[in-house]
Amino acid sequence: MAEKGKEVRASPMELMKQLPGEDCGDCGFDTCFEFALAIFDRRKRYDECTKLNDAQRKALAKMLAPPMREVVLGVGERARRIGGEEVMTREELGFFGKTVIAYDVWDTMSEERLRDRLKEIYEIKAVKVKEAFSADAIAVRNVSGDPKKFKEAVKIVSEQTDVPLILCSFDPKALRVAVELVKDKRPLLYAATKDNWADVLELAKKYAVPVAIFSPNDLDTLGAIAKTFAKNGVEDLVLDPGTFTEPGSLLQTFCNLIMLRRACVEDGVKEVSYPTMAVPATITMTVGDRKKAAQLETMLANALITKGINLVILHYPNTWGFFPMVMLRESVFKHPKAEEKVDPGIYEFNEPDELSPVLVTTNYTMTYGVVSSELERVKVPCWLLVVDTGGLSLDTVAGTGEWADLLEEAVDEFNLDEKVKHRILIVGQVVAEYKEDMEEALPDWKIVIGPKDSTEIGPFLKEKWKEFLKESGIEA
Amino acid sequence: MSGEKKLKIKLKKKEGAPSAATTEGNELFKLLSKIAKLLDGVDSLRGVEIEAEEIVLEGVMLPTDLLAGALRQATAAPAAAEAVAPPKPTELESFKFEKPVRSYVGKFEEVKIGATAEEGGSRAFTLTIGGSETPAMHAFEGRLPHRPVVAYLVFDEDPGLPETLLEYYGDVKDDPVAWAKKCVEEFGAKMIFLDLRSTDPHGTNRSAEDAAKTVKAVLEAVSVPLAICVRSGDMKKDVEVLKRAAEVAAGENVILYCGSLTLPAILAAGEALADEIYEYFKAAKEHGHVVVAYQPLNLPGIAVLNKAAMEHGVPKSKILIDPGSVAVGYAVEMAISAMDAIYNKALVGDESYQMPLMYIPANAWMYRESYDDVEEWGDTEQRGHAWEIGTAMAALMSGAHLLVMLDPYAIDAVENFLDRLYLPKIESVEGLLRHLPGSNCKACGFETCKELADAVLKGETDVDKCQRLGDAGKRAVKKLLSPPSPPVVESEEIASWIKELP
Repeated sequence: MAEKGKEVRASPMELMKQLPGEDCGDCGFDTCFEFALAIFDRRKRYDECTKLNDAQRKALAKMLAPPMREVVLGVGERARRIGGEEVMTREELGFFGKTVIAYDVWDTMSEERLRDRLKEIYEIKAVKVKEAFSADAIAVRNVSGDPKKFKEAVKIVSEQTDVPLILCSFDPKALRVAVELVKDKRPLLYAATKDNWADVLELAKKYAVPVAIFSPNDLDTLGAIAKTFAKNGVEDLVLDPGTFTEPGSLLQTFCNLIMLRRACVEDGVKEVSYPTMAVPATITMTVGDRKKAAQLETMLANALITKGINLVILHYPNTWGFFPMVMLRESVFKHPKAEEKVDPGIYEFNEPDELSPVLVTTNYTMTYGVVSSELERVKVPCWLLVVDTGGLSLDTVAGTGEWADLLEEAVDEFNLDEKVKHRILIVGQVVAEYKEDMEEALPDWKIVIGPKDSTEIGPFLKEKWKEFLKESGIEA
Repeated sequence: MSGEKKLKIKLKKKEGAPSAATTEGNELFKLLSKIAKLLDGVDSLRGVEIEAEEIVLEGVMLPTDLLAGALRQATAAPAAAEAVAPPKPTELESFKFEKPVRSYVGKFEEVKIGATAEEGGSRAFTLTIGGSETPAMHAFEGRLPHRPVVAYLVFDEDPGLPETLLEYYGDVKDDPVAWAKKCVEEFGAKMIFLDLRSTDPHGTNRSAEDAAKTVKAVLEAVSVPLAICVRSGDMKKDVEVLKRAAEVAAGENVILYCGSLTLPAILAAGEALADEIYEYFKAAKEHGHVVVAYQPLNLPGIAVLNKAAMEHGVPKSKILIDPGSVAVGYAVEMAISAMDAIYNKALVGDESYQMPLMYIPANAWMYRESYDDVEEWGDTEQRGHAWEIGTAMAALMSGAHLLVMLDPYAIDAVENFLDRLYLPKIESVEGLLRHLPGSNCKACGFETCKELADAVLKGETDVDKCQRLGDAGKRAVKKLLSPPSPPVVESEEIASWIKELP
């Protein structure tokens, strides 16, 4: 029978009792209580406190243990922690076990082809504001049915990469020889099924590696296998209820994944409280064209990522699909209370000179991101003064009445008057009503109200900038 | 233990038939615990011989496993492990998954778009969206009665279409009537979302009267339900345009979308809204159209608009919500959270949020990631498709009821996805075509996939003729041609995916 009942989360006050209370500041917060709040809503992990004793560490680990188990795949820097989820929708707290995006290789490939494909996988890259992303894991499929061939493929892959491996075979013999080879790299065994579970359980025990359980559209068996594994000490599990993509089946795929998650995070059903995974690659079996299949696979992966699934295996390595997928993943798994700041300062766009316009924005990541990408796009040389608003957007900070002072501080701090000859600042329309305040705070500068929408920046600058300069008595 | 002792145990079946297998198991356990007591202090069990006779065990663990377990428990000595191999479970624990079903007191309104001749309009059919009784995809606990609709976005002047889209619209980009016709006739559009961008006072600044002519011409050229959109940022002009459009579209039950509704900075209760907002509601009410509460990522603002619309005579069944249609990479998580929050409120009965959700994934094309040739970003064309599709997925999985999209390739993919979710009976060529490879390889004997689709629909040939689709692909097409009811999910479909992937 299912063990039911969701555990009540410890309150910040209760967490506080397990902290040193010295307010040492090592964690980046001024007080232990602020740190308690941060670990309560999981902006920080409790082990970021440097002064915990063993008893406190143990107590905090227990109090903060999420209903869904956290499972680590791989070792070292490329290891990935998945699971640890607590809610159904991210607005309730956040999603945490960032979807691991894996691409497949298989053991019927010639060595040369295998190496080419690995290269293709490594070459996938995406960059978001200074952070670079690449494929998280590689799944090796045992297509040959021959353990020896499987072992050879795994050997080549493991020599070439340090990302976590997913060993895909339903044949325990094949899994055995493969895991023996990479036992120190914490690969994921894929998968235990209703037919092979006893042998896979032995392997998981012997090698202490995580295991995926594959039970297509049968959650009773899925839970039964997980329960049996847990009872035998194997608890690093990942659940795969099957990725059905045929018409009339796809909805069931989502239902199964959603039901598993809810049983875990809301009903506290221990037997299924593990990360979930899916194989969007299966959609390719229903598509007769590679290009089309690649798009449909990317589409399905994006749908799964939106729902917070922790691991996906894909078949078509390419950057054009990986890029939006990673952007979506980073968004979905971003902590809702994550600080949204970029460094204040003066940023250059398209090689500006001392007569180029100065635009003003805040250091809220989104505002900065939208404005900066637009400036890159329109290719007008200009300066962007990023004002420290503590990460607040322009319309938010406008309401506080502090905008003019913050702007003045920024102009002063970053020596804007040394960068440009003119004295014109272009500010967003949302602070138009504070024009007088700004003029008062910056008597040497002329305040110009810019367009409302960032997409109008280009035309605005192209049409009007020379006029503004002329008005100020400067010939361009 | 110095000397080895030999123990002989005889297990005999109890007299009479056992009442249940478990009873017998219990008996065995009892017996074994007695043995365990006997063995107390013994640290090695080498040489133990067990003789069991006449024991019938049904539905219980094998006696060797039981014995091993019991002995291990009893002696708790590491040496015991040497003697008896650790138990290898041979049967699964029992587990029954209980569906975590909730009941919701609230549900989304159903909104109809378009009006047929009998209803006072001239549309060939109407579309109904909304009605969700559960969160998106939660079909295990309630009804999601209407398949989301994908509307084709048409501009009344070229917005500067990128290369990828010129491929589809290059020939019609300067003629909204031809553009709309192409969407309907060639791509099978079920709804047109007409963006009157030429009325933007910062741009071409065409008059409301001119825009109304375009609306009229599009209504005459196509017979699918229509939406009319203005989003110049100038509320006064936008509402002026919508008012004229509402008049010429009277009775057609179109969506009037205004992306420029500006609310007071502080939303105090009872605070009057801008006159234009009331005029907008009035135009919709008088001419029988649908309004949209658009306030990007601003839930209280959405509620204010919804309430104001209802107070001014727009029925709840004629209001939609646009929570702020941002693209992937541009704070899409905030739109997802806004939609999650709207669902959480709507389903517990908050009437200010029970209007169906619309989303404009087409906005993905506003960002350079979807169209700029940057080598390290990968193939531009495929990336553009993927960006709009990805945005559509984020919206769809968060419960959007109406998607407004631009790229026919992306729309085709999303409709393909919806077919897989909803299993409709496919009766149109473009509907079937999206489930064929699309590579026009001619191996089936037809010149194009489209010709094959046509012949299959006419019953002249079979999809088995396709040389590129595998078994699963053919099965998928057959399901769509003749949907099994109820839909079946066969675990065999993917049971051996490891080997079957191409």
